[in-house]
Amino acid sequence: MTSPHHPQSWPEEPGDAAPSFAAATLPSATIRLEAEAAAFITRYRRNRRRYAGGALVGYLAFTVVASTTPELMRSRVAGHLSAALLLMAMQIVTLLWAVAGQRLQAERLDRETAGVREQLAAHRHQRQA
Amino acid sequence: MSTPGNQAMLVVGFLLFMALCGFLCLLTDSDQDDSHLAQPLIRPLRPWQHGLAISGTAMSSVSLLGITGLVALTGGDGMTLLLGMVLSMVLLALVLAEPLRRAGHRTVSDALARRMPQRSVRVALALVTLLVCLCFLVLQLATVGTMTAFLIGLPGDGPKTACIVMIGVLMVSLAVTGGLRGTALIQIVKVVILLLTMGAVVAIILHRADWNPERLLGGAASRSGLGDAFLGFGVQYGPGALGIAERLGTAAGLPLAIACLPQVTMRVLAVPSPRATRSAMRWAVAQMLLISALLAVIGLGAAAVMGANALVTADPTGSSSILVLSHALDPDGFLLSAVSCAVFLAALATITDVTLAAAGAVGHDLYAQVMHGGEVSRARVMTFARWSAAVIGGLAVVLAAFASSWPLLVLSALGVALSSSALGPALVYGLLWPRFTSQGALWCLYGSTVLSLALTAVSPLISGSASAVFPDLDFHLIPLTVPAVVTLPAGFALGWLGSILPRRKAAAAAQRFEELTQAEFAGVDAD
Repeated sequence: MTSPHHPQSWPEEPGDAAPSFAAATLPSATIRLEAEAAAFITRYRRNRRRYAGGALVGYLAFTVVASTTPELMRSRVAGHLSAALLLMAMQIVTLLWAVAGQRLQAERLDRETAGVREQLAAHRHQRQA
Repeated sequence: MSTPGNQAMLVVGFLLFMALCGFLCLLTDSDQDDSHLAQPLIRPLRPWQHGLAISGTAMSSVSLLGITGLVALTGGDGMTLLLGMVLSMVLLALVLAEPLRRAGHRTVSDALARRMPQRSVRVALALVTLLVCLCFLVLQLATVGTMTAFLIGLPGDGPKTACIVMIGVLMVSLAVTGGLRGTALIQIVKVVILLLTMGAVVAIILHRADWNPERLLGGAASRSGLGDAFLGFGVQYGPGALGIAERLGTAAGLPLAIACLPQVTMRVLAVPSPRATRSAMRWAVAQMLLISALLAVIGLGAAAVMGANALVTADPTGSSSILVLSHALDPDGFLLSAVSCAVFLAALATITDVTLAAAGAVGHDLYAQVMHGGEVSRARVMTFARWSAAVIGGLAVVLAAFASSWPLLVLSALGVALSSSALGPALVYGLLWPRFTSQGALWCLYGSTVLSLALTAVSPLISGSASAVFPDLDFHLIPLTVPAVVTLPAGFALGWLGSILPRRKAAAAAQRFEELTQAEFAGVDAD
């Protein structure tokens, strides 16, 4: 009745086997890796803020304009196409831009971070052991 | 609207869908939801299937009927709600789904428990989840029961109550026997059938308009009786400061409410990995965009073909617009039967999902985690959850039978207010704000719930207006019919205030959040 249990991961499981160099690394390497990870996490967050912010700010601006200036929204732009319908169409374009842009950026970041994630996971497993 | 031939077709269609859903539930077998040992009868769902299930869960039958009616009667205001539905999926895709899937195990409480393991937070989340689920269950059951009685030509309160009870019992039994994967399959079938039937209606509408959108818009505007106002905003809530506030409240509250609904987050948590979540959400956004576009055309078509007067005569709220239009487009009744069956299937899928989400809150959160501290076998949890689903479903059927004569706007307004203002801030802060503490969670969960209930109780939805629950009484104190205008900002403010007041705890929470984020990045357990 509930979902299967899955281990937590970001964004996919790292390799099962630790890289062979992991055993020989020093604590300073862990510190360096954690700093790199922190920088990547910041980039993930910035990526999310950029696209989600763009979509939400656009929608809020649309909502405020649509709610406060109903008369203006009724004015026709071309044929029966009103300013309201045009703004709505622009909103949909903005939403699609946000979804597509966030996906492309996130996948690029996934590729860049794969190595760091594997090394960091190996170090953490080593420390826990 | 219904003839004996139509009625027979409808009953056969309803029974066929019930049989199909029962078959899917048996095929998937709910016991296998948690079993890694048994070989499942069907293979695990793929990300695109999860995406369809997520968007299908978000689009309930009440939204389908209600928003189409609003588009037909108010034009731009209804279309704004459809845009809000799409935004809810975008909000999930960009902000909530991935962090939720990374953090959560089975329920939202699990996701927050990493940062806030206190039982009080779990109890609060489970109680609010139950309240939201009950609101939606009663709303869906009352709507589908009323629709069924209307379609099969049984007027009066008695047959309506009988329809609610029979449909409720059947749907709840599906939720009890079917697991998460079984109901996901039902959602996928629902989405496909909805797209096919709505696509057929849209094709007929556009054919009538000579495939000219200009002609459709012009016809809808002229026959709506509103003229150019139909193509703008402001018809639903009227002019003035109150109208502006209610429009803002609806536009801001609806997307967040849908994104945070327990049944929607339950579907997100069922996706096998965070990367799969990203893929699933793309499908969910695309499907929601497609169905919203179809519903917008159907609403415009209803206004253009039928005119506002005919729609209001059939149903003052406009909720039966799609059914009235289907009958007008095909007087033989085949289209009406197909659309009614699709709406019935949508209701069935929604009710089973909401029942499952409520059972998850009781079985997993309250019984397994709060009462037994997680030290209980999965088999016992499953048994308890099944019984919980039966009890919650039974309670919802009884409440729906009583509430069937109420204006159902009160339940949807309360459900949206609770989901957006109590669950919304808890989820957004819990997944994204490092300084969020358990005190902040309790303040926003309990504070917003009490505020939502209080504002609804003293609003014109309950008393003081002809369309109120108690039209003969008048104890309303505020003119607001959209409590989310107040409760949404209040919920976020309470969560923020409760978190920053003990500064030491907020700093510790921020440190814990960073540790967890680093651990998730590496793909290891922080503890």
